[in-house]
Amino acid sequence: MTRLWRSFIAGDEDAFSEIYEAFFKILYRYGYHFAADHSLVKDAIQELFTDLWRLRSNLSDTTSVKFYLFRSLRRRLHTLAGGEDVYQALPLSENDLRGLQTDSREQYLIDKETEEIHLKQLGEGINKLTTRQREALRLKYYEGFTLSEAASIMNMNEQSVRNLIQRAIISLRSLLS
Amino acid sequence: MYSVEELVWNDSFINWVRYNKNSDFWESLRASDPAVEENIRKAALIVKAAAATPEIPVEESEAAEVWNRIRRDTAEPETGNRKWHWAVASVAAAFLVFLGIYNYGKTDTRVSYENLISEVASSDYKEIRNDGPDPVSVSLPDRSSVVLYQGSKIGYSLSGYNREKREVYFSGEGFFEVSKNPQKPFFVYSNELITKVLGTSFTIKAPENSEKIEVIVKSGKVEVITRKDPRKKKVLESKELEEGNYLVENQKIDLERATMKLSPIVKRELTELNHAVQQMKFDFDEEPVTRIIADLELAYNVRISYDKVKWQGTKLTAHLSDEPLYDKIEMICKAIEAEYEVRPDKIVIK
Repeated sequence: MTRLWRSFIAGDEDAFSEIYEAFFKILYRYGYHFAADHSLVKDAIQELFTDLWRLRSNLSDTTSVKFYLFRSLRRRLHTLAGGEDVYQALPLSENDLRGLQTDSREQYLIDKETEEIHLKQLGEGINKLTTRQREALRLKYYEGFTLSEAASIMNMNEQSVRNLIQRAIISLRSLLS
Repeated sequence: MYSVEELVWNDSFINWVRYNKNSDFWESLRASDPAVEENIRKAALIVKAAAATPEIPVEESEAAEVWNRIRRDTAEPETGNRKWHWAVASVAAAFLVFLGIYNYGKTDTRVSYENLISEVASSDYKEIRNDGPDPVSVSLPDRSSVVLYQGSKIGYSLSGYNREKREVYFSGEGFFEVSKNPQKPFFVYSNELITKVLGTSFTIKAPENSEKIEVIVKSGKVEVITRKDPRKKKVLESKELEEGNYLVENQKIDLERATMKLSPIVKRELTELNHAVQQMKFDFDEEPVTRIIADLELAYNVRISYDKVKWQGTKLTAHLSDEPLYDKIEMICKAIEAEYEVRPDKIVIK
């Protein structure tokens, strides 16, 4: 990705297109939580990449591309929503949870039925978390950002994000006793 | 010692749960102690749940749609530095049909695009339009290709095309490259004009509501008749062009729609070919592959993505002329031992 990013900054259109292809869906899925509006998310992504191309010469070649794109997209969506904090944290469905079950490789170690019950409880617990907690969990555990990246994307300080996640984990942990 | 609270913050642990990385370490730790195993089990459940996200479907077409908008917004004005490529005189086979734009009153002999396609059931009719300012390359089922210019449309019967012949209905301006297949002659119906070729490349200009149709042959053989021609049936049935009655390289003919009269065949003027692909010479001697691909991108207004570093310095001799776009790509891929893939917004060479 670093090589691609450097080619892109140097003006390589193919690199630009590859970055777009690599990130469109990831950004779309994240952005959709803010608006639940397809055209709004698409507009935001369009603007994001248009500006990215235009302003490429000002970009740093050491940036984490994904981090940069997420932060820009969130800022854009924030502006489009009139400065509201609008992450909506769409509820998890049974299907979303079913996909999390341990695959057969580890099955011998885990009681499948217990796992299913626990995941269901955790799913309900997650749906009860605040939207900020949900977003912080998503950024750290699903998208794989570091705490400081997650904080920067959410425009908060690192300690606040740590607290959000900590409290979420405590409440989830309590469901497993 | 590996409490649930510690584990859920541990990046190595998260990577194991999410992506099965570092599994030797975590598997052996799990096996070491039942208390640790229980903590690992709970922490893994929490990490999985924390990573859970609702499924939000995204269509490939949405990615392509947004990409087109980005491309439009980021298009940079054409600079002069590549123009010399198409200043080269051409020997490639091609012909042009122009439909001039002088509006007269309509008469009974007039045939519109809509009249033509009314013969085909709409559920069976595949139409491709280009309403944008940039040329669009279209591939037909037999791999013949058409570069559609602004305001043009082409269509064909899904069930009938390429069975006994290849018939397309056309309006606007387009550059056709027809794959050679004398067994299945290729016909273009544009207003009152029927253009027949066995395999060559040519451009048609047939804007709606225009008064004159011109056919300009760049090279190859092209037969042109009107729909009123008494020989029409024979021309449509036969698999040959009628001897002595076709246009060849650099000739042109035109039809005045009001009188339904075809002009004599005359030599075309160089200035009558005004798009890159109509004039380009795809004849390469020891040219860098990167140059050849750049020429194709320019000629067909397509994007071709490939590893520039890998092919840097590779040279190729290729005598291409009037093959359809994908045949050209395939010939190049064979020569450099690569493969290609067609995506919605570009062609990828691997």
